[in-house]
Amino acid sequence: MKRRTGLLVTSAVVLGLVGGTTGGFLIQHARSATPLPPLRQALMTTTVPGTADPRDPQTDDGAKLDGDLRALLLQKPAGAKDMDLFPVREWFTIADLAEYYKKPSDALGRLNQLQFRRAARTGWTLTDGTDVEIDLVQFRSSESAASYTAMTQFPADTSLPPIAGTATGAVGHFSYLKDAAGRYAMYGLVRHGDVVEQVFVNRPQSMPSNDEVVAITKDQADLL
Amino acid sequence: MGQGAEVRAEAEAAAEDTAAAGAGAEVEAVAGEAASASNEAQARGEGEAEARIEAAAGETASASDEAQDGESEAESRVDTAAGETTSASNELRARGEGEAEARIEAAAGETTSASDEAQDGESEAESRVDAAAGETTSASDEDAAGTEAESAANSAGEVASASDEAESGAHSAGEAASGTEDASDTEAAAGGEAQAGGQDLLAGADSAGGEIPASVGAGAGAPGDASYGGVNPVPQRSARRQAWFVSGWLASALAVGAGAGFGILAVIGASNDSVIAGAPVAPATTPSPSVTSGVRPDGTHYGSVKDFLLPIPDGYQAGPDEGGLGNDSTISPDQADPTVALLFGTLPASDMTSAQGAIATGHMSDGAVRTYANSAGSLDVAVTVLRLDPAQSAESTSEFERVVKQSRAYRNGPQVPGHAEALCVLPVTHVGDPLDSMTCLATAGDTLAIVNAEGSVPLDTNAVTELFGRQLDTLKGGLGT
Repeated sequence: MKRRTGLLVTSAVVLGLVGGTTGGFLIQHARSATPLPPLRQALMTTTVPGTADPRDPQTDDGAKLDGDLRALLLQKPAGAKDMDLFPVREWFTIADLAEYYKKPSDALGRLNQLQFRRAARTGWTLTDGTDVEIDLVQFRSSESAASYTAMTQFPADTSLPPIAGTATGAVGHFSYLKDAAGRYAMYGLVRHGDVVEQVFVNRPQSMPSNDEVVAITKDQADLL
Repeated sequence: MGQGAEVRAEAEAAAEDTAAAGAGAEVEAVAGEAASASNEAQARGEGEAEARIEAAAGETASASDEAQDGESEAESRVDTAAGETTSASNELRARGEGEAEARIEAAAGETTSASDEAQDGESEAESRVDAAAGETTSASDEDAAGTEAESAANSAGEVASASDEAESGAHSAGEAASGTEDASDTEAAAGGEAQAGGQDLLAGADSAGGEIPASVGAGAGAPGDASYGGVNPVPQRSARRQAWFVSGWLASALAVGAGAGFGILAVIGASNDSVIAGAPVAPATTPSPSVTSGVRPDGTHYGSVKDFLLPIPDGYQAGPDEGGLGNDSTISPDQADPTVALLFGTLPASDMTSAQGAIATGHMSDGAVRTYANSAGSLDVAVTVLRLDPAQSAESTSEFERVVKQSRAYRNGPQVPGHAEALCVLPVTHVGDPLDSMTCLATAGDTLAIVNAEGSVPLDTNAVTELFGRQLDTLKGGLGT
């Protein structure tokens, strides 16, 4: 009797477990899935490249600098012809920029370290043979851009006039002598946010005037 | 009554204000080893319901009665005589009006299982369990309506147990098993509970509504019923009995399981509705589709091409923007020409026109670019993938390769390991420069993959071709390769 009762109870437990599992599974299986409740907040609209940027480049400096840098380059003056050393008003690469330096490999490493982002350039030749080049060099941060201005090692000359309307703008001479190409050269340098504007003006016959270089540098800076 | 004993379970249920209802059920099993009976008596309206099961010669007798609804009376009795097992479950529900009778009788070693449903109202329910010489007798009464229920279980067997959720009275008279009469039945209902010998005195005496059962158990009147009274249980087991036993066992096991399940649910309160109700409610938003990208067997790609771009490997970091395209971006179809101009700026104007025309033939539909700079800062790599119309891609890419290969702007570069079809070229203008560059391109299904690398001399072309090879593996084998 006890053996039989135990058998009964045991088998009943087993049947209950099996039947309950099967029944529960079947019931749940027959039910349609309960959809997860929607998120409490709708996700922010993701920014898709190519879609309209709500920021207005006219009023938003970040939007302007995130846009097409080539469009921010100063137009050549009337009568000037495009520089033939490179495609004007076009992008140029980190390696192109690094080759501006005496030790391009080191410059390339430094530019990568500073998280160089991109660069665009333009240039023209005036009728008197004066060459003008303007580079816009952009980094991932303003700090990197500031570091880059130091990296240029353009010799500063505080006696020269500043660039009006800029905090960091300056012009200067690499040398008061002709360079290796036989030209007198001056530079202009302005940092605006994460963009560095560098201007090169040179001509073979004489040193460009301060006012001339300042004017070009300021005109470009005004576009940034 | 001889060795017989009587077990009586009485359940009286009375609920609040609903119509008075009662159902009477009597169960008798005679000389059966296993008698299982489940009676459901539902009475609606006015009337009476009776269910009777008598078991004789049963070892075990169990009766479970459920009485639901109000102002009703329920009595259950199980008479067992010398049987091994008698199980009777009665459900008595009283609603409405009407009459119902259910009666089950089992005698002389036969197993009888019956389930009766009687519906009627304002009726009475009685069920009695009388056990004689049974080994085990259990009576459990449930009064689901929460009304009064009384049960009296008198057992002459070895074990007597009675459980009653409402009220239970268990009267064990083991010593009296050898007696002739059960004297401990104090909860006599409506008379007729006295049984002696094998004579059924229950007949017609239990119904408060005056209903007289038409027939009463087989008892001693049954021919060949030597075991009535529990003296000589018939050991014979027929297949029919076993079938009844199994079915009864199944029914009781399922009932226990279901009861346990609902009990657990009631305790933990796990309700689907409550889960939903507790969930935060927000305006319905269309879920963003989970974009899955892959490669079809024919080599064409689905999903965003950007998904196939090689993640930044160890030893690399995100590189400079590829001009105005960015360094981790998609390329829209209208950017096809500028992209070619940017990646193949070394090409002379005539070749550039041909190259752009070749891509235009392919009707570029999607593109993406990602750039990488090695940790030393000595190598910058940009990977661009353009997806073309599958119908035109072969013509488009082969023409594009031809333009690049024949251009005097380039010289041949190294092979890409594992991808013999890939073409690498070096710009002739960079010969002797302190920095060098290399461009590789290859077709993978409907995509054209291009890698542009710049770096210190000597250019680490192995790193470039290795990275490009991994990119081609992904474009050909799909994600995860």
